[in-house]
Amino acid sequence: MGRDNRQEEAIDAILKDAYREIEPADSWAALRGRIGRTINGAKLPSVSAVQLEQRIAFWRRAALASAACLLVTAGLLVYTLGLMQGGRLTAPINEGLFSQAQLVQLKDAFSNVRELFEQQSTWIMLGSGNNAEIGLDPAGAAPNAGDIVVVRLAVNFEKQDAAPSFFDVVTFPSQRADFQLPLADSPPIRVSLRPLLKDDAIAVEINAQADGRAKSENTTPVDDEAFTSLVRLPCDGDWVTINGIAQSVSSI
Amino acid sequence: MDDLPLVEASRTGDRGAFGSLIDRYYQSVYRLAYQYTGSHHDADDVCQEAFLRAFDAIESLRDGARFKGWIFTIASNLVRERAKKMQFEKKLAVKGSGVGAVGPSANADCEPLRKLSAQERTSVVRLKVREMPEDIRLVAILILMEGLSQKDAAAVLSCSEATVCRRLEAARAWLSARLRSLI
Repeated sequence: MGRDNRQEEAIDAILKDAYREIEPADSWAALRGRIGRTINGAKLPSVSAVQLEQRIAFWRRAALASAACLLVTAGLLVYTLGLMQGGRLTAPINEGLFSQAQLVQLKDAFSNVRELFEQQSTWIMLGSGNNAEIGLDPAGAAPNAGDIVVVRLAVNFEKQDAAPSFFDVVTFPSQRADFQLPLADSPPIRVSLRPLLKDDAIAVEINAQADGRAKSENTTPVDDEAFTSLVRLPCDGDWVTINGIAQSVSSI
Repeated sequence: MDDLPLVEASRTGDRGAFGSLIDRYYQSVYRLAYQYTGSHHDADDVCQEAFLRAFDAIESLRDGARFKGWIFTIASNLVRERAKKMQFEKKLAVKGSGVGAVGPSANADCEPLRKLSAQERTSVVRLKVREMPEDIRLVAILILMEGLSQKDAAAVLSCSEATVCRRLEAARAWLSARLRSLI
């Protein structure tokens, strides 16, 4: 090792010693206490405090949104109960047509849900037994500016001597809604539905799946005054038919 | 445990986590500040101010694992600001009195370091480092005294490693010339 290197090492060691021996005038503990008090007593809003305020604001908004969601749900519930009392959910299929009041209620509910999610691609499904689903079309199809489409589905088991179950789906034309139709005595039916609006005529593209395997896919023009059979598929040892009517409603 | 989880917890407002970061680095920050300024009062202020600024701006630290370098950067900026202010005040004082500023008395460095007491030797070395030209002083403190790598020092000082390397050589030469006869 050269003389210069030894000298360099000696200087480095001296420097390190001199540095290591630096201590506050009182003590490390006292200095640590002063730093802690400075941080804890900081009067200026720190970034963390601002973040905390932002989080509080976020949760406040979330709470408001939840409250709005509850209101919407309550509204939907009232709507369902009203329909039950009005006889639709237990009525024979041809009596389950839309009333103007129902269309208005559905349009308002849809409008509230859209505001809640701040999304253009929202859909809602409201069914018998207080079942409701709210979702977004992952493809985010561009909504038609003026119209929404209300599709009423009537689910009917051929062997059962029971009234059909009804489900209302509200969405924009060409926008897909994926949901389940919960049924009283059989497994739910998975449905993927897309209403197509052309020259004031509505066709419904529907993909229905029962028992996790039986599957049927159709695109059928539908009327607003008489139910049209959309799909028929085996389900739980029976045959189930999904009928539909649809109506476009101005969203404005 | 590295700094990253503590920094992330601090970002959520966890003062305890930030307290752990203080525990890790406050002595180093104090030493850096004292070595640069030569004043316990200034070092104390710089230390508190550095951690307060870090606490307020921890959200802006992109790489939480770099907290050590970051707190040194804050402290380095603070000591340089303070030094500039002191130089300005010193100039004003000189103009006002017409008398040259009295340099730090360092008669002790007339004797070889080994003949000095440990305390005297330490004082002389610190004084010599403090007398170094501005541009090489921080490099000497960060690398030769604090023990940072050249790469880390370059990050702290926001300059290239080549610049740090050049300044380090200059710092070694400067110190060697002044301390050689004392070893």
